[in-house]
Amino acid sequence: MAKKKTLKQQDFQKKKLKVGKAKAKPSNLTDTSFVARTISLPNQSKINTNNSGTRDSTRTEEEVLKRISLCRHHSAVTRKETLVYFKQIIPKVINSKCITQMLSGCFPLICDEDMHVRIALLELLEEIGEHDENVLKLHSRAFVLFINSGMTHITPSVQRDSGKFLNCAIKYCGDEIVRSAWIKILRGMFGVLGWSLEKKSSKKTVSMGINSASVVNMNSSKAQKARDINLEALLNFVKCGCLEETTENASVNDDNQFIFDKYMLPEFSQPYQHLKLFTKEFISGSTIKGSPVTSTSTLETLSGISFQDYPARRKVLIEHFYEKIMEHLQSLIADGGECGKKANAFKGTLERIRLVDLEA
Amino acid sequence: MARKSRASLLPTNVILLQNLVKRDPESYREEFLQQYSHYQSLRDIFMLNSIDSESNDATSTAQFTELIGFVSQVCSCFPEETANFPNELKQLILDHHRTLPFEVREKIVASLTMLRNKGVIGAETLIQTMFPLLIAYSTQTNAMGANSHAKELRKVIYNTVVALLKSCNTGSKNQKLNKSTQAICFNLLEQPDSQGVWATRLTRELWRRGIWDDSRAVEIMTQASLHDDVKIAYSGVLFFLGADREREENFEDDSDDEDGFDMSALRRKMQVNKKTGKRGKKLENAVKVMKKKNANAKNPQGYLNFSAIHLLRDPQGFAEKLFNKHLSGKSSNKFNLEQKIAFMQLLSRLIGTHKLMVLGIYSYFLKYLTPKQHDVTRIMAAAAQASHDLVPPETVLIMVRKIADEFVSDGVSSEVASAGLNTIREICSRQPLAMDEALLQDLTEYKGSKAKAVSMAAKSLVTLYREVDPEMLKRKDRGKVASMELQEARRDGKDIKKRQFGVEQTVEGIQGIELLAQWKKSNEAEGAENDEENDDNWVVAENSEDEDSDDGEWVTMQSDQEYDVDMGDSDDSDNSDNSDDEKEDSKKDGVAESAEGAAEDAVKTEKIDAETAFRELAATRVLTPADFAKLQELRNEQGVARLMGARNEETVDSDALVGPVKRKNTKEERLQSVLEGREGREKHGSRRGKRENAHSTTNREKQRKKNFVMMVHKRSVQGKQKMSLRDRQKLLRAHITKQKKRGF
Repeated sequence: MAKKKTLKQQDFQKKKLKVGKAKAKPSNLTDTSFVARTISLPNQSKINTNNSGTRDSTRTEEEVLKRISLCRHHSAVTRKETLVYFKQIIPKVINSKCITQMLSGCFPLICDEDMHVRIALLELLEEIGEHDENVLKLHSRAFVLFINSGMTHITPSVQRDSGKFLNCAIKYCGDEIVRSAWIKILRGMFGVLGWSLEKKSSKKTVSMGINSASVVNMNSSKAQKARDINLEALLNFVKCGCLEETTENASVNDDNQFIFDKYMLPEFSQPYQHLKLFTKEFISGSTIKGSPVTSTSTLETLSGISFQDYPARRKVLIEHFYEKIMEHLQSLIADGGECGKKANAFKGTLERIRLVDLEA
Repeated sequence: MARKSRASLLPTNVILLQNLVKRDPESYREEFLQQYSHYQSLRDIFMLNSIDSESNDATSTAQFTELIGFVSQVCSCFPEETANFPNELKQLILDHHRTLPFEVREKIVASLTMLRNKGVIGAETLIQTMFPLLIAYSTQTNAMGANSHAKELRKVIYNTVVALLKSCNTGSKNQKLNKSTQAICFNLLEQPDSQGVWATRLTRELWRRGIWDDSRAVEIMTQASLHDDVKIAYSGVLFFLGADREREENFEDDSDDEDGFDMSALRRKMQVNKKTGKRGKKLENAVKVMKKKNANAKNPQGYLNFSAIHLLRDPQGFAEKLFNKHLSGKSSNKFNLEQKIAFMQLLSRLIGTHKLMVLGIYSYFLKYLTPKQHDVTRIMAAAAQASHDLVPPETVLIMVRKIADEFVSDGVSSEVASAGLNTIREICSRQPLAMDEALLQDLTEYKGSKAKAVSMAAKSLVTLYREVDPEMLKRKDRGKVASMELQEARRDGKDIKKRQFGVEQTVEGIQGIELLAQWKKSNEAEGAENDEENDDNWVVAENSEDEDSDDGEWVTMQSDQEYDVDMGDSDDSDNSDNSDDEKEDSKKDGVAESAEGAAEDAVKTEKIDAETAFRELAATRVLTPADFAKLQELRNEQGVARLMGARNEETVDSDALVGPVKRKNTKEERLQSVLEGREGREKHGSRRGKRENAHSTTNREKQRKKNFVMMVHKRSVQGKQKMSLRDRQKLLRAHITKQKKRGF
């Protein structure tokens, strides 16, 4: 007790100054002796502080950058609200730099476990597409990768929702997706629909060609609804990839056109993307160049190749996927209902594609 | 309810799926394929994002590592689908290890190791993946990168490589893998940069574990020792200096860690005590452990117990290069003293072991042989080791003179002088000709020194020359035997054989055979019957032992029939071992006794010439291993072995050169010895006023302490004054007798 008291008193005693000795430093002194030109804080996100003026737009951009990390927040509600906020702010920031960072932060949410987050994300992407579809076109590579990741996700609900995102992607940047990831997406959709890609002849094992998740969830209403959407997405995808809109170039048929084309501005964006000059991508063991479709090529070897023109895509579709799709469509048509109608439409489309292919 | 139970069967996480796939790969094929493509898509995402690593957040990394683990766990179930998977992993880590997060890299290394263990990829593929990584992570540029965890990764990779080589070499050696790995090591050492450290580290570790024990491994270290880089060269040298000892220690540790129990005591207990099944099992276990232990101790992984120095392919060339490149050349400046001493030690050991000729090193030593030199005892030890009987005496004599001048004089302390004398003795025991008479006689004067260490050292020098060349000593120093020999030789007019440089002391027949013959003769003279009796005894003993063991077998059979056979066998063998031991013991005893007799007789019996002895012995009987053992013993007694320069391979202990040093104890040591003496005794001092055991005050104590004023008027006190003289006398007498009875 006494000791405590003396300690307390010490605090209030005035320190005596002594000749020849430096004045005692207070206990709460901040040490400013270090000299450094820069302090690096590697853990903090790079925030560009070029806010020369306090304009409204820069402030909103900063706000967006600050909120990007909230996309990885542990609470689903926060994530969803962040996406909703982004959606509101889209008209202001659609043409600013921060949109790239925003999208790279948002795309991983395609695989989010929470349904509401995915719905919010879909709305956000729709909103972006509404305002400027070129934004989505620019980011189509990442978009496709994440859709693909969603299609192979282990959680069934995430897998089912990937069709919606695919629909959205086809709507705004269909051409790019079809060019760059034709086989990848087709295979992914097969997986989502629970269809097997196995060749009957080469099959040694007695596989049902169907996974247990799809068996268990086959008859739930949610699953059926999702199947409708996914089937529609696949139909859109196939249409977009195989049927060219024959509008103006039907009349042009002279040989010179072919030569001129090389020197004209290309009709679509990023014409040399398939060369993969500036992308970092995993190179799988076989790198096949030249004519993509040969009779001996298997699906595995083809999946890394991009298909730039319609005939090539048609050929691949017919060679590898046509029979299997038809087979599954038959059973769906037999089931009838909403799904049966769509399946019927799909069947018609496929036959048309086949005819076009035969003509060529 | 039913829905829920069905849903619970669904694999909702990867771990669960892994379990299911492993149990029934065929049914869960589709799920596996789905996850495999998920792995692929995640991999693509990783590649996309790897440019800016901050966007790879923790969750996606965790997912990716989880999937890598999953696929590598189950890919042995689907070899066709995942044929490319190991290659992908390899490519991923080799090409992109800079950009991948640490967790992913670690996981990939672990997965590749697992794939090797499952036999999906070969060991060589793994080695070829690991080595480039090891090198990549030890260069400066990568190590400095943020968040690279280079140190941890190096550790992981290095451990992986060692474990791999160990597992591949258990049982029989995988020579192919060893050769390819050693080739990689050679290539590493050929490059001028410091990456070769990994080669030396690996080789040293594997040598220590007894996995690599061939001359190729030694050749790697030879190359390392001759490397330009200081670190590599030094580690190579340390390998040659310490590797064998390390290896022995390693194996000793292994054998020690099992709890030692007394086998024979256990067996004895088993025979005497009540027999139960439990005890029998205990014994059986003990026997098993013992057998295993013996098997391990005998031949751990079949390694050859050759020291690294013996396995050198070109010792002379190696020693010359080492000296020219690292010690005498210009580059010697880059080594510090510690490293230079290590080089000297290695060189001297090489020279001593293989009797090489590197003449430059003796003049090189001169520079360092001064008392003020740091660590001079180690250098002196090296100097002693470097001399052998094929070196020209003049070159060694220079060194001896230098030591004598610098170390052995009146002005130096006793430790210095004794170190100098001891070093000279060690040198001269290896090359006795490196000494002239005057110097020797000067040095032997020190035997009268007051310092014990110095006089001991000088005496040991005298003893050495009594055997080697007594003529060089002063007359009084020669000793009885040596001077008698000299006198005898002079009387006979024979010339005493003097040692000469370059004349090899070749041996015809068997070295020291005359000693054996002499001993045999004296033995026979003492009593031939005794020997025969001994022989008979052995036979009898053997028989009785056998019977004993039979008895033991019978008893154990009665106790429990399950494991009697095993035990019987072990009993039998052990007993026979025991009997062997006893035989040897009895023989040794007999030998020792007779040897004493022989020593007594040795002076009397005339000397036997080596040639005649050989003829005699070889003609009459076959020499048994026991005879050779005896021969060795006798030769050691005579000190022949030392004269023949057999000590060359022994290392000179640098600490022993100084001799016994008596120094004052520190305070702590004194205190410790005081406290040691106090243990277990009571404290000294008076026992007065201390009670033996606790009790309340007695009546007598109360009486004594009572207040004087209270007592003074009582009759018992007053009455004493009024007592008659007679009563008082009685009382006094009674008091005296009482006191006497009490023993005062």
